Amino acid sequence: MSTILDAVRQGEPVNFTPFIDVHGHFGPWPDTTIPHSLDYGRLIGEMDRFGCDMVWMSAADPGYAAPMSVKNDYVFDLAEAHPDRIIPFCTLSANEPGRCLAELRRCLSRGRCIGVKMHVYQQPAYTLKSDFLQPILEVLAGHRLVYMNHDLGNEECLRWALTRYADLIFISGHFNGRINDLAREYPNLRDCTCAAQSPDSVGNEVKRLGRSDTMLVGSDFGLFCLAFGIGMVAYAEIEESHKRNLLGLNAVKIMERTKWYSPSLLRCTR
Amino acid sequence: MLRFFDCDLGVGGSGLGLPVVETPGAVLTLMDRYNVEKALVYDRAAVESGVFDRFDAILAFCEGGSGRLEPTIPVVPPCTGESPPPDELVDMILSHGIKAARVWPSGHAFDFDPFSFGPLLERLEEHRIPVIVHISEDHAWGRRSGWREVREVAEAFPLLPLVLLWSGMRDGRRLLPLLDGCPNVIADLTCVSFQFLEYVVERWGSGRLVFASHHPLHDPGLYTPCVLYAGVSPEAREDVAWRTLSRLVEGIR
Repeated sequence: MSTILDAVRQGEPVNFTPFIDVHGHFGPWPDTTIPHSLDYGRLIGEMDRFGCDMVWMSAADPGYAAPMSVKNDYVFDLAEAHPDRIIPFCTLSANEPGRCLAELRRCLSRGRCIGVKMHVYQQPAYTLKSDFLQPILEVLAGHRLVYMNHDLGNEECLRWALTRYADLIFISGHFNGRINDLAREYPNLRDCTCAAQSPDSVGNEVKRLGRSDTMLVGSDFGLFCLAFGIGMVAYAEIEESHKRNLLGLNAVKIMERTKWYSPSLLRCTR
Repeated sequence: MLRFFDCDLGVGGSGLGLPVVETPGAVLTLMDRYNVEKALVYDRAAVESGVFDRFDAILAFCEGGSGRLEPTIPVVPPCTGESPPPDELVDMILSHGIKAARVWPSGHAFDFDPFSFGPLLERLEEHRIPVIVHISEDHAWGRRSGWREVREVAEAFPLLPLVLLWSGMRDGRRLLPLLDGCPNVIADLTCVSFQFLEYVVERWGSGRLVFASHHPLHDPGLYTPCVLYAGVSPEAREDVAWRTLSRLVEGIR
């Protein structure tokens, strides 16, 4: 296959360039039915069919269903079974602020971890300046990891955090032009394509920005199908090099900063 | 290469800023990009403005579609007088080669149930003319309403093909019982949660799902890969991509 679009139109695995979906969820779901949601084989099987090297996976209903440790164990157990394919986030919650640091340390001790994922639903309001988050962000910066949030919050707090924790990569969990604008100023900020749905919205965003280094593909995989991420990239009316950045090369650059990354993690580079 | 038959493509124009494709030639170019061979199309401007009695625009549009565009029309409860009476409307559907009636219960503010639509549904069922139900056009992650009404219609008119669109990504606990209890209900892929397509095919067969691009609201590329990479047989993929909708259209009598 010569291009990502060629592969997708044929339903063939995209196995010639890194494909890393940075926004997945794993675990049981209380408020919707997800068939076979805990089936490791079906999850990895779907990744194989798409040629997806790796998913950065956080908990289901992150931060607002069951204690953090319970939800994290679902994800870290999966990652333990498939360590080269699933890179877990430690999912934290403002519902348990006093336990966040210990939970992060516990997760980091279990093996590879890309960083922390948080959400804003059904938990006390917080910002990137909140006290309970500072030791978390310091640890993540020390490990040169990632902090992803469903919504990174107001711009003033985000600018403050981006400056204070310059060694930490911040990722906005969902497609957001405002984040991409800010990412032009801050090299440690990224946006995720997750839930970009209107016609060619990802392609139009790359054209608007004139660059493709600020975005990472994401699909909410595990809750939804991998197609929701790669589809918007494959059919985007932009150059192949931009598509490859979005689909995996940008994520590789983030992982290269960590202590545990090796190119051999990616099947297409073996 | 797997081809698709799209059951939800709006054309013509939009006052909502949607990127509607305005000419038949441009529609065919769009379809080619996604391997869409044929499409059931509707007049987006008529739907947005609430025109239920004039179908000349969509018929003329489809005439320029090289046989790849099939017209469909929006309907509302017949007693409102906004559409021709049921007998006249169904005669018009048959004589003009219209392939389905569409309802937008939320967008057009009515209950899609036997009480409101009985006389029209009776005539549509007689001719096996599919009814495409746009249960919502809200964000696909949102919850929908109107499930009970769809069930009532499916049960009251068991030979009427009902194609449910925009079921949403998170309403499987409402959609799946409908698929289980109502054999004449067919769904699109907006509920493509993890393993949804595989589960439906394994449990109820590959004849219960159809492809809908949802253009101009969504990018068709969200949905084609769901089918192209589904963990089902090539035959089942073809059913979802093409064959099931084709059978429905061919079943009009």
